Amino acid sequence: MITLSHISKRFEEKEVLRDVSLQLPPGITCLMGASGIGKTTLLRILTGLESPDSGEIGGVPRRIAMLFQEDRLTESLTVRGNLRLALGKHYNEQKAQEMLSLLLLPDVLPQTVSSLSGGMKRRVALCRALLFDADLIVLDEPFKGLDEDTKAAAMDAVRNYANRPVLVVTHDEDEARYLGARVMKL
Amino acid sequence: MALSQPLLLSSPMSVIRRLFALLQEKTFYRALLFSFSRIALGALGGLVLGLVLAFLAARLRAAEFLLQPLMLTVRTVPVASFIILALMFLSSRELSVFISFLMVLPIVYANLLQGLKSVPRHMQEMAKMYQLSPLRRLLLVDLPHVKPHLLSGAATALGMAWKSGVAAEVIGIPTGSIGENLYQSKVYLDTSSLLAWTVVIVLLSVLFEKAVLFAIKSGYRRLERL
Repeated sequence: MITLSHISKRFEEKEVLRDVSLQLPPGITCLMGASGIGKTTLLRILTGLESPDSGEIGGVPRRIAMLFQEDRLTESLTVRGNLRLALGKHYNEQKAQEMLSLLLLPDVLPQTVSSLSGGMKRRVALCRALLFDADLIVLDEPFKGLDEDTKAAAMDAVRNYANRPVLVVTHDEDEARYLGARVMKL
Repeated sequence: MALSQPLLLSSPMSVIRRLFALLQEKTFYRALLFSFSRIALGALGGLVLGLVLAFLAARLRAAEFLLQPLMLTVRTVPVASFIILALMFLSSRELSVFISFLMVLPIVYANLLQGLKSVPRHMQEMAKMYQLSPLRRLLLVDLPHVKPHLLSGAATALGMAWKSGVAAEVIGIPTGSIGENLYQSKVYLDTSSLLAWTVVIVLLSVLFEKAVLFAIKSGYRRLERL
């Protein structure tokens, strides 16, 4: 079990997190809360990108897939190039094609990322996170900017990974319900 | 007036005539081969080592710290000082290799290091999260980001390589080089030859720069089609 206990974090004068605890069992957990309340900071602490000022973190696996708030794709490369280079030896063309089809992007592998729309880039970034074959998946607002059909497809894809801990940041309770997720409010 | 005297400033027609005359001579092509092979070798060596050292310095602060005074020295010391100093250790035939190498190295290094230092933090974090190997990080994050820095650095440095390489030949006067021919033009006040050779040097410099930039862009095209 992944646990964060009594986590506190300040950025200079601003206190972002105070005494926050969280447990992540296998399955999908949705982290909800108002903007600026510290959800992303908590994710960054969980994934080791930030250190907490106090508190303890335990059981975090070494292999974590993360979808950041920004897509963080290399714009000048193709979708295939982005996936191949990010996933390394775990890249499998057939699996990538299947995942992209599931995300309603059947023909984008040879396309340059800069030629895609915002929603398409979001799904490519989600595809990369899901294909990373991690023991913990952390998704920061994964469905941001998606229309109803593509959002449903993306949520279905995420639900397929519910056999391991998946932490999803969202503002939408309907998304949490659709994912069949535990909800934790900050 | 003195300016109308062909001895001081040749007319364009006499330069063109001299250029065509040069094209008929075997020694012209030998001089081209001699200088081109040496300056190109030095420039490409400087380009490759500049790339390697910039990547090393971007990863290791100690490497950057150690290289900084060296690069600063090479960039600020007049090229003539280096040429005369190098003549004490090298034969004049190898001089242009060393000098063009020395001129290219710090320019490529500085441009590329600046580019590598400006790789956005969010892409560095992505590389960390996806546990990218150094090679995959290079291909996915670093090389795409430094493309404009690499192209502008290479363009500037390669032009410098020809200027400094030929200057080294004029001072070292290796037999059968372009520099020797320029020197002879000066000795005999043969401005037609001087300008004809200058045209040749400019053409060679431009062609070399275009060829190297084309090769770099082709490499990028391959990466972008991966």
